Amino acid sequence: MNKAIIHLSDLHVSLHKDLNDLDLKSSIKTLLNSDVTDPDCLAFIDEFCSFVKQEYPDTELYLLVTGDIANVSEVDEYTAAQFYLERIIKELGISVSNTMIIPGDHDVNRDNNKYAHTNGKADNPHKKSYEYQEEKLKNFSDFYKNFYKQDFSFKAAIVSIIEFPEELLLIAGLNSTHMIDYKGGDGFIDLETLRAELEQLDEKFPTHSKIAAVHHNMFSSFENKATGQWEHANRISVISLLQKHNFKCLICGNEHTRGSGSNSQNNIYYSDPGAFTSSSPAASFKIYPINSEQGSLSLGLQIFVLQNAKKVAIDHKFGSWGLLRNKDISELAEIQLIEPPVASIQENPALDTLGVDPLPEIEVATAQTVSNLVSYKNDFYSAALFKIVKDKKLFHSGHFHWSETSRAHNWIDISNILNHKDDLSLAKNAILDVISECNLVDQFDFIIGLGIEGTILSTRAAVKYNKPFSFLPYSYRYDEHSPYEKQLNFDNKGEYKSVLIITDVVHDGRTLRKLINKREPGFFAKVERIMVISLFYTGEGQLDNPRILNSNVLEIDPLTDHEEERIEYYYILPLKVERCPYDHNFRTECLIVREGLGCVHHFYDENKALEKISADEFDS
Amino acid sequence: MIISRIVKSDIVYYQLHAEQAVTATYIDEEGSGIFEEVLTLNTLERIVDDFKSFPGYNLILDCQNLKSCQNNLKKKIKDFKDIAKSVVLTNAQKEIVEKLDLAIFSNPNNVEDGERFLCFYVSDKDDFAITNTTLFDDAFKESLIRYSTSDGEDPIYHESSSVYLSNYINIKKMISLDKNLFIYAIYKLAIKINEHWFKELNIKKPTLICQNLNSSYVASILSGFLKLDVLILDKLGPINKLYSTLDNKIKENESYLVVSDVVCLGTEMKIAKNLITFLGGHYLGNVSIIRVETLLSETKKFNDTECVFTITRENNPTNFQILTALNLVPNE
Repeated sequence: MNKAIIHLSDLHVSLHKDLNDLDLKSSIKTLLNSDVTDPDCLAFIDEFCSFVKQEYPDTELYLLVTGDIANVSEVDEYTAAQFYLERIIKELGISVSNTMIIPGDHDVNRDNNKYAHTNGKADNPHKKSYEYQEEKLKNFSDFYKNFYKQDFSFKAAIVSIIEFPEELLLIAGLNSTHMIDYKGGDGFIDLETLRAELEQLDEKFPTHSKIAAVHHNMFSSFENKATGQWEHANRISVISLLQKHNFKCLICGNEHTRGSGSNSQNNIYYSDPGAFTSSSPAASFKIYPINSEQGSLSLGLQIFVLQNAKKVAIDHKFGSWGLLRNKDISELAEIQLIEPPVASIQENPALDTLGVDPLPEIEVATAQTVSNLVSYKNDFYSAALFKIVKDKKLFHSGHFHWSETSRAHNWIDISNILNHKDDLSLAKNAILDVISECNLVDQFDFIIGLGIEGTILSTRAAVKYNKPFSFLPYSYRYDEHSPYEKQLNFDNKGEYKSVLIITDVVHDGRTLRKLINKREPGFFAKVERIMVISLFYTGEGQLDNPRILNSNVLEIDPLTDHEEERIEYYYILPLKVERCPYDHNFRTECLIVREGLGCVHHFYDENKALEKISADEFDS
Repeated sequence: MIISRIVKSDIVYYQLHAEQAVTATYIDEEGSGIFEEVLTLNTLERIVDDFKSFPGYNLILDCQNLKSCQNNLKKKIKDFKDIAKSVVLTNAQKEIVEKLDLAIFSNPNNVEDGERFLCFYVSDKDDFAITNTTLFDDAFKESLIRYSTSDGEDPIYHESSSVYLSNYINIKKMISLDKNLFIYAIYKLAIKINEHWFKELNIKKPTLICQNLNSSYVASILSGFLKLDVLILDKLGPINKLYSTLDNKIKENESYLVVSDVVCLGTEMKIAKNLITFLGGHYLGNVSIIRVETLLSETKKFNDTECVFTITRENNPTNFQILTALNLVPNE
């Protein structure tokens, strides 16, 4: 059975009433409060559970919570936190033994700590405020005992472990609140305690790969200290100890800023899921699927962000969960704990005896010869797009005429796909995914949105990649637009060598070849690469060939079309439409048109076209 | 991409919430658009990188519409101080000043207003004149002048309204060649829509209607900032021909905001309004980047428009004139 670890951090379950019973909900900045009857809190938990179940069916799940369970470490906060966490593990079928909860700085009760320190002065004048471990963590430890039915170990550095015996993997939970007191403080772990416990761990699990889970971050480059929120000298020693004991990865929380990376200096991975209940920036969590096969061991890294938070027009005011699918976000895709073994080259003695010649050296492609184009394939986006078309019934049959020479018997109503904000967002993200997956990032230096739909689709790419941008009408509708709408507004003296065109549908590429060679020949004269991305490909060419729209691949009519060999074409979903089988004689040969037997949808001004034909015939 | 940077003499101005909205819409996939209230590291890093090109300038960081910031931004403020001659925060909530550890500075020129600082100098001594009230308007006017074209002395025929114009505001050229400023203008429009229809009138989910290429660009970005649906009502205006599926698009009792690039006489907007109303939809109003104010304020009956820049008799940087055959002498 597949296994995956859910990583939550910084729950900050907050009091919903003060001591005078006054409601605090309006001032709470997180999405969970101590009112366990609050429908928003319950919906937040339930949505999370149903989302995880949907994303990870048939998976044995583990739950890891890296601190700041409560906001100010009050009893009522923990009572509610226990309720929420038990609801999660029940819904997701996670046994208590497959969970790990460690404390964070917000799990230190500042009042209790100050009270203990003040009252302890008489008996222990030299005892530091942070040394009142039991008092400051009392409420957390009571919660811990209620949840686990066992005591929290105040003195231990490693407070909990989860073992994965089949994968030989171990997660050790560390308590980094040692030096936190009522005034705050940084992460710190007592080194001698940690050293001794790590040695015991090594004896018991000598061959396991190890991951440390801790609340405070060690590798943040954000803080002015550039070393995370950790006591400086202690940080270096703790990292050194963890390295020495074969820890490959550190997972933490604390900063409310998701991130991950590989610290080259320390050769250790780190990952922070961000805050689970933050309303701004958006709440997030991570899931690490465990991949163990053929001698290698790795954790996948999937980031889930509460999308639509605070947006209008949503089911729940907190938003809805979604997976970050763009590959060019600055997070790791994988945490490699054991590298796959390098396959040894098997010598074949028969080669010598048969006198086989060595293989010729492979020529290295130069930058100019773009021969290794990757066709796009992502089942998520193509399936999602197809579902929209199917559910909204947007694939129409009938007679659709775009021009005298462009007619089909099907039509995809793209404007209705772009109508709904979530569908539009998905479509824009699909375009970004093509750019990322087909290695087009940084490959283009100009973006053109083609048609109204293409213009709408291209805005996210235009802003995200910050390239010069313009848009143009479809070639077959040029006559319908004012001269200003048809201007590209950029000259190209060679500064734009690679152009990205974004549009909604491509059939056989005639429109594109016309744009390049008839509408904007001056601009494209010095362009070397023309990358085209569309949502749909409705043609019938070879699906995995990005050169499919070029005249050296297609058979084109030289009288009505243009020679073009620079196009690289990428699309999200192939959805073939039937072309009208009649030629220019469709008015006399097509029974439907000739006899007016059915509705013909004209997307162009037919009268104007007929006038032009008559004028041409008259001239000739 | 930085949208709000405006440079004027020795001052560089950034609107942090506008940049946060860009981060939350385009950089950090699927954020909350203009509803983002917390400044994040990602945003400030982008601004620091941009500001590196302006060493020795006075820096204004406008915090309007931000309620707080992440805890991890202190180093970035130090980066700004290292680059700038002096740094001032404007419209900054006190929580932001505290979270950035800036309360150590006590400048006599700081101006407090309840829970925020109207201006807060990140220094004990610095002082420079803050002129951020007109920075955007001035920059937009310059762009408007740059991208207005005329046909010599000849008036330009305005196809959709049967009038002549003294000059043509080439919005598409502004979108293309002044991309960043134009997106900043769209951000400002999004803020106005939020204030007018979401906050004041409590209307939560109008659909944006676009009618041509320029307005589709504006609507697409507004949709990202405001998380609203977009409806394409193509072929209005000069072509005035409708898709046969039009009646499926306007939904009865749903609210619609018509998006335009420039509203001159409002002909296309009125066509859209009639269609929406005829098909049972609820027309909320019209939003545009530029609006030509053709009526005196006492004549206007409804407050159902929002725009970023208004051309009026008093504010007419390109001497824009609407002419008819009855009065075909510009500037008469």
